[in-house]
Amino acid sequence: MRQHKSDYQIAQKKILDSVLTGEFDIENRKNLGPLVPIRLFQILRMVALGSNLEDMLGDGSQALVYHSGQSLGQILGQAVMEQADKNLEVYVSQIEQLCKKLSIGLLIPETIDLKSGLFELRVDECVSCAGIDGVSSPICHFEAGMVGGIIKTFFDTNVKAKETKCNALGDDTCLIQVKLV
Amino acid sequence: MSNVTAIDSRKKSVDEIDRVLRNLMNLQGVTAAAIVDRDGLVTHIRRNFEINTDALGVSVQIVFGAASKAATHVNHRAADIVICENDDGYVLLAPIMSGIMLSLVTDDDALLGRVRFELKEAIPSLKRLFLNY
Repeated sequence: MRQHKSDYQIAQKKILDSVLTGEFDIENRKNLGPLVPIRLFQILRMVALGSNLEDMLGDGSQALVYHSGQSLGQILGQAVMEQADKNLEVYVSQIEQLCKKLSIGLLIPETIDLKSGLFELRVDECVSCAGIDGVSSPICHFEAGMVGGIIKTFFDTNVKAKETKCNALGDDTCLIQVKLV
Repeated sequence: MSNVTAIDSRKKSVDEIDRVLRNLMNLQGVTAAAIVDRDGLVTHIRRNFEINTDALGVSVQIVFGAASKAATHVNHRAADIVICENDDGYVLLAPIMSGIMLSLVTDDDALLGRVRFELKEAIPSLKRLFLNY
């Protein structure tokens, strides 16, 4: 039996297909073009998927945002997994390029310790928190989940990702620590 | 030497947490017992059927978060237990500490009062264990 797809799932497929093929031209945007200001993305991320969600779900909002990021990370990971042929260096390099192309941020591996299963990846110029300051704790839960999802896909195991430095806290980068569990 | 102690102590905590979950699983009708961290990651689980742990973990946090918010909207203080009554059984959620949650899944054979009582009994022990975790 064919499973019914929700309208969000239909839209998701269209968006992801276009992102993964690098096709950014958008129909019906003849005058405005395919790009939007980062602040608009940040409204969606920090307001719609941030404070508004927090108003409804309290502490549960953080888990939802993390999970959403993890799902995206897994999609990106699966998209490059085949070309990487289980080579971690190639895999990370492909992900770096994809994140740069999508302007998510500049993903830079800081620590890769396969023995202890510990990874640290920097996200320079992070799209979520660029130009934001004065917060009391890291706010890029989406990116933490995304990096976790990328690592999870490669190793096919559960991971715990945590943002340990955040640009919005005054750090010079966002640093995501990932542990295989 | 101090590192060795720390590892031993953590291993002991993991064993103790597992023992608490096993005891809860011994209750009539309980089919899964899981501990979920703040980000929705299932850190410990005992179950006798296949579960998508990623989806379960995030759902636990979302449902408990929404229930806690609903409680504040009606001027109630902290939510202690959230119970979902389904066609096929119950899902019970209870906070342990710092966003860490205990979740129990039952079939329709479970005695809700008994499960609820044992859930409440388990929370202080788990809290002690997570303080040293």
